[in-house]
Amino acid sequence: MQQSRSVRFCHFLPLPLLLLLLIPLSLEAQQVEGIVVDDANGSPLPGAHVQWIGTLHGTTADGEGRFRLSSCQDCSTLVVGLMGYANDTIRLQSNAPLQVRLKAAATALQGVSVRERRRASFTRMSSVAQTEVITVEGLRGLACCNLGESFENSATVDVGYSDAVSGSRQIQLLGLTGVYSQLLLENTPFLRGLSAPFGLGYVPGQWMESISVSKGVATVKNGYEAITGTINLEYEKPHKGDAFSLNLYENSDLKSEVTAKVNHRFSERLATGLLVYTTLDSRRSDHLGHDGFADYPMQQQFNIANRWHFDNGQGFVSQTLVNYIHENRLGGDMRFEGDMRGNDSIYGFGGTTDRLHVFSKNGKVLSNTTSVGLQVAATWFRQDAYYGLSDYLGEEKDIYANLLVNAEVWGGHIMDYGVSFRYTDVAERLSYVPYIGAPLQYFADGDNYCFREVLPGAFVQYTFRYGDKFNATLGVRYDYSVPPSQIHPDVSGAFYADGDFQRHAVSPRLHFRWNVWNNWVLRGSVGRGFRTPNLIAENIGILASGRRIVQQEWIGREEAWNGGLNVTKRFQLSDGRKASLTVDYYHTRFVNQAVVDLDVAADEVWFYNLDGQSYSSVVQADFSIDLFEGFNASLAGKINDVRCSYHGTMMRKPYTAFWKGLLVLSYHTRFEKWRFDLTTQLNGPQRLPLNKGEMQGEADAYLYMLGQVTRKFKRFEVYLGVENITGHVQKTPVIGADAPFSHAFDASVVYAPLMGRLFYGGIRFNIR
Amino acid sequence: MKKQVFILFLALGLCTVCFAQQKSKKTRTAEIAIPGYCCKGLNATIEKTLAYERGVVDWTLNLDKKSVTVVYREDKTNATKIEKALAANGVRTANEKPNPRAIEKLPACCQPAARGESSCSK
Repeated sequence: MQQSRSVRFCHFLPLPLLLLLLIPLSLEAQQVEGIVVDDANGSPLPGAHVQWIGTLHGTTADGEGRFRLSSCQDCSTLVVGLMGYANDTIRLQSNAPLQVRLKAAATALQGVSVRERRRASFTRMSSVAQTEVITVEGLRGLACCNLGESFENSATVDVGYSDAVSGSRQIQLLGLTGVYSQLLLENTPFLRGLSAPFGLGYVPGQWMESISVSKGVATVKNGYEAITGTINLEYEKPHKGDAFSLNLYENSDLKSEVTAKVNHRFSERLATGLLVYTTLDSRRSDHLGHDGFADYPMQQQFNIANRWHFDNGQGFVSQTLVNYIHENRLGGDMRFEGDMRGNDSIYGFGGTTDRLHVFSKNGKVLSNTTSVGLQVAATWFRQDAYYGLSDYLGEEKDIYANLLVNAEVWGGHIMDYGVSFRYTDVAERLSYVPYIGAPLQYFADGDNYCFREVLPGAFVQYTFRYGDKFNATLGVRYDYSVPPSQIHPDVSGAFYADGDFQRHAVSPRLHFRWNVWNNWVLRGSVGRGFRTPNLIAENIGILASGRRIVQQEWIGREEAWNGGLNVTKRFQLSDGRKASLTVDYYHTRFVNQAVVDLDVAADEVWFYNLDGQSYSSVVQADFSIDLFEGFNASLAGKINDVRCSYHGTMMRKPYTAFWKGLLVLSYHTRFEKWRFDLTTQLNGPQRLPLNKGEMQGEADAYLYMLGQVTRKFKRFEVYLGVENITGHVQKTPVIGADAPFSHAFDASVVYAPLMGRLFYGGIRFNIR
Repeated sequence: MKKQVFILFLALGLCTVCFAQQKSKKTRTAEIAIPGYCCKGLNATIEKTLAYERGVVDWTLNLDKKSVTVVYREDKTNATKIEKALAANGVRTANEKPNPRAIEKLPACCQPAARGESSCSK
C-alpha cells in the first residue's frame, strides 16, 4: 500500500459546467470495525451507537465497546455517540480498525463536532435544526474584518447599512432584521438589546473559528428569543489554538487593522488565550456623490478578550471569557472634527461605545446518562452618540444565568430541563432635533425607553430518537415577567398601566429530522417566540433622517410564530467529490410587532403596535458541487415575501430585497498553497419608503462581486482582494446634503453599497 | 461573466505551474518512522506538513511500515528538521514529541497514539 505525491504536482483540469449534469452517482462499499473508549481513561464504552451518517445503517457497541458495521451505500462518515459524551463524526479513510475516543460532554450544548476542514461552508446533516456552518477556511476567503462582513458567501443572511453616516451594519435573516434572531457566543447570549445595532462590528473576523447559522425557531434552552434563527459564534479555543498568530490588514481607503492571538497551555488541564484587535481608520474619503459627506465614518476600535479553559479530564469542563470593547466613530461632513459636537452649521456624527461582556460556562458529567451545566453571561454597555444636533445615550446592564440538566431516559431518548433568570436594565435617552425649527423631542423615563426586566423562566424538552432515522425534539418554556411597578415604582410611563403588561410567555417549540431515504433528509420546525423591542437602538438610522418620531401608545412585547420545512440531499460522487442540494421554506407570522412605519409622511416615522397582519415567507435553494479536485461551486437563490400592515394597508417591508441570487466559486491547489475565491451576489429590487429624495418606489437590482487570492506558506499567508468589483454604489447616499439641518435632509435611505471598489491586502502569521 | 471568471482562474492556475518549476539540486533520501500511525486520517497532516517544508522534494508514505520516505535537498534541510516540522503539527515521530495543541486538531482516531497513550488496536 503505497502512495506517492510530488510537491511539483499540480493539475488543473478545466471541466465544462455541463459535466455538472452528467456526474454519475457511485456506490461505495465499506466494512468497518473498531472500539469505542472513554477519552479520559481509555475504558471501553458499551452501548455507544455507531451509525453511518445520514443513513439507517447503524449498530451498538457490545459489552467491551467493540462494534462491527456492514457496508453502506453512498456514505463514508460515521457518527459515534453515547449519552453523556460529545458525539464524534469520523470520516473513514481506511479499513483499519478504528479506535473512537469519546470526550465526556460538559454540557450537551456542544452539539456534533464535524471534522471537515476544507469546506468553506456546509450544511450539518446530523443536527435536528437546519444549520449552515461557515468554517475558518470559509472566513479566510473573505476580507472578514468583522462579523458583519462574514456572511458574503451565504445566501441565508443579508447584510445592509442602517444609514449613510454611522457605518453601522444590520443583518437580515428570513427577510426580517437580525434582532428577531439570536446571536450567541458559544451558545450563550451575546449581542442583544442595545448592542445589536453596532454589534456586528464588535466581533473581529480573525477571532472566530466558525459561525453556525440555524434557520427557524431555536430550541427552548436559551430563552424565548430566536424567532427567525440563531447565529452561534465559536471563538478560537485556547487549548487548541496556535501559540501565536498575527494578522495585519490594510485597504485602499487606508484603513488598518491588527489582530493578535496568544494561547498558552499551563498543563493538560488548564489553558488560556488572549485575543487583541485594534483598528485605525485615520482618513475619511468622499468618493460617493461628492456631497461633502464622508462615505464611511472614521473608526477606532480597541477590542480585547481573555479566555480560560479548564478540563479536569474527569468530566468537568469550565470556560470563562472576558471581553472589553472601546470604540470611537466620527463621520458626517468631511470638515467636521471631534470637538465640534453641537455645531449647527456643519453636520457631524460621533459615537463612543464601551462594552464589557463576561461569560462562564461550566459543565459536569454526573453519570453515564446525566450531565449538568451552568451558564452565566453578563453585559455592561454604554453608548454616547450624536447625529447632528440630536443626542443619544444608551445604557444597558444585563445578567443572564441558565442552569440545565441533560439526561438520557428510557430507550435512549433525551430529557433536558432547567431554569433561567434574566435581569435587564435598559436606559435609552434621546433628545431629538430632526431639523432646525422642529420642536425638540425628548425620550427617556419609563415607556419603551427606560425599563427594567426581571425574567425568571423554566423549560423542559424531550428528544425522541429512533436511531439515525428519526429524531424529534418537543420543548416548552415558561417565562414570567415581573410588572414594572414592582421593580421601579418611581418611574411611570405615560402610556401604559400594569394592566396592559404581559406577564406570561409560553413558548412551545417542535423540531424534527427525518432521514426519509438514502441521504434525503427532511427537517421541520415550528414554535413561538417573544422579544422586547428597543425602539431607538434598533432604528438608530432614523436619527440621521430628519424624520419626526410619532408614538401614541406603549409598544408591547413582540410575539411571533415561525414554522419551516427543509429538504437536504447529499450526493457522494464517484471519485470522492461531493455535492449537496438544500431547499427550504420558512414562514414567520407576527401576533404583535413594533411596527416602524416610514410611509405616513416623508418627514415622519411612526412607532405603533401591529394592527393587522405581518408576515415573512422565504423560499431558498442551495446547490453546491465539487466540480473537480479543489474547485467548488455553489449556487443559491432566494425569494423573500415580507409584508406588514401599515395603518391598514398591506405593503412590502422596506429595504428587503424581493429576491437574491448567489454564486460562490472557490478553487485551491493541492495543500491549499494557492486559494482563489470569487463571490457574485445579485440583489433583487427593494421597496423604498416615502422619502424626500428623487428615488421613490423601488430600487433596482444590483450586482455585487468580491474576490480574493490567498497564498499560503509554512508560517504565514498573504492575501489580496477586491470588494465591490463592479463598483456599483448608491448615487445619492445623503439626500439634501447641502442643507443638513433643514427639513430636506435624509441620510437613512440606503439601498445599495456605500463603498465603491475597494482593494485590500494583508498577511497572517502564526506559530504553532 | 462566467467566461471571464473562468479565464481569470485559468490564468492564475498557469502562474502556479510556472512558480512550481524548480531546478534539480543534489538530493538525499531519509526514512522517517511514525510509530503513532494508526489510520489514514493522519495522511493529510503528514502530507500537508511536508508540502510546506522547505527543501522537501518528494515523499512516499509507507503505510504498512508506518513510515514516510522523504526526498530532500541537503543544502536546504535535514532529517531532524523534517521530523521537528512533523512533530510541530502533532505527528509523533521516533525522535520528536508532538506539540500538544496540534494533537487536538488531528482526527480523533489519531489523537491517542499521538499522545503516546496507547498503540493502535490491530
